[in-house]
Amino acid sequence: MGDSAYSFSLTTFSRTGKLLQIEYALNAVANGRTALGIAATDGVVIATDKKFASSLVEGEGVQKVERITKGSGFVYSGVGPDYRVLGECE
Amino acid sequence: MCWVSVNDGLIFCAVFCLESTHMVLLQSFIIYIIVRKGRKSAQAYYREYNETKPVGQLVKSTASVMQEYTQSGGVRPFGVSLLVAGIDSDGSPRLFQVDPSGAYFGWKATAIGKNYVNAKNFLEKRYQEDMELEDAIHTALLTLREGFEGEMNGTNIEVGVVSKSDGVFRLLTPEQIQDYLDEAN
Repeated sequence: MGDSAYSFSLTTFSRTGKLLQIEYALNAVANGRTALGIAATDGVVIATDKKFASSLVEGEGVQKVERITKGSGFVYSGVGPDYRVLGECE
Repeated sequence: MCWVSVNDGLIFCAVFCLESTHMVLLQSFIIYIIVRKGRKSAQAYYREYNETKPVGQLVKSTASVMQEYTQSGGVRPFGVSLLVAGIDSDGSPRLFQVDPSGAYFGWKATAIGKNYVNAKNFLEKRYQEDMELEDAIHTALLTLREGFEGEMNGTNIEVGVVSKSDGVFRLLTPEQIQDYLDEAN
């Protein structure tokens, strides 16, 4: 039995010691829009692109960089709705 | 979109109105939950320690949530990696990455998502230890442009900045972003 036999279940290790669903989650991230950040001596910058599939999309309300506390903020790459849930937890 | 004030901090909630009109109804409910939980969590910390949650703590608790979703039944991991920017309690600027596994890393500069390998190589070449925030913003925009299809402008990218001087996280306005882009040209 190869690794694929275990990949249906997140909570089961494959025989090679991998959790395949987590690796697939990382693939989902790698398919997402680029986001990047730089820590400078006197501050930090995070940025991402906000391109839509169609020029008809109303982009006004779309916000990917989010302020979480007074002094810190998030940006993500990957599945948008999942990001929203994380914001909810903080 | 809505802003909700939490002590001296703010929690920002975004409406993603991409998929369908049905989502809009759902979203107003989700936003209610985000607001309620966000307020609760931030205030709980504030009430206990009488200060806003430091970025290190924020990363730790977020990573814990993500880890939980790799070891519970009936759930799937989060399909996102996060970059978290903030000023630490000792006043130093910090950048963290949080992965779906719950692993988190501190970085001087990094990139995630599509083209992250190229972007990271680019950042490795451009990063300097004595870099100031203005240089960092320019470098960030240059790096983003490397993998960008089409012309970048104030509306099709987003930039968030936290400066050591006031320790407040801010989103740059489209006009500010456009100014930085013009400077780079």
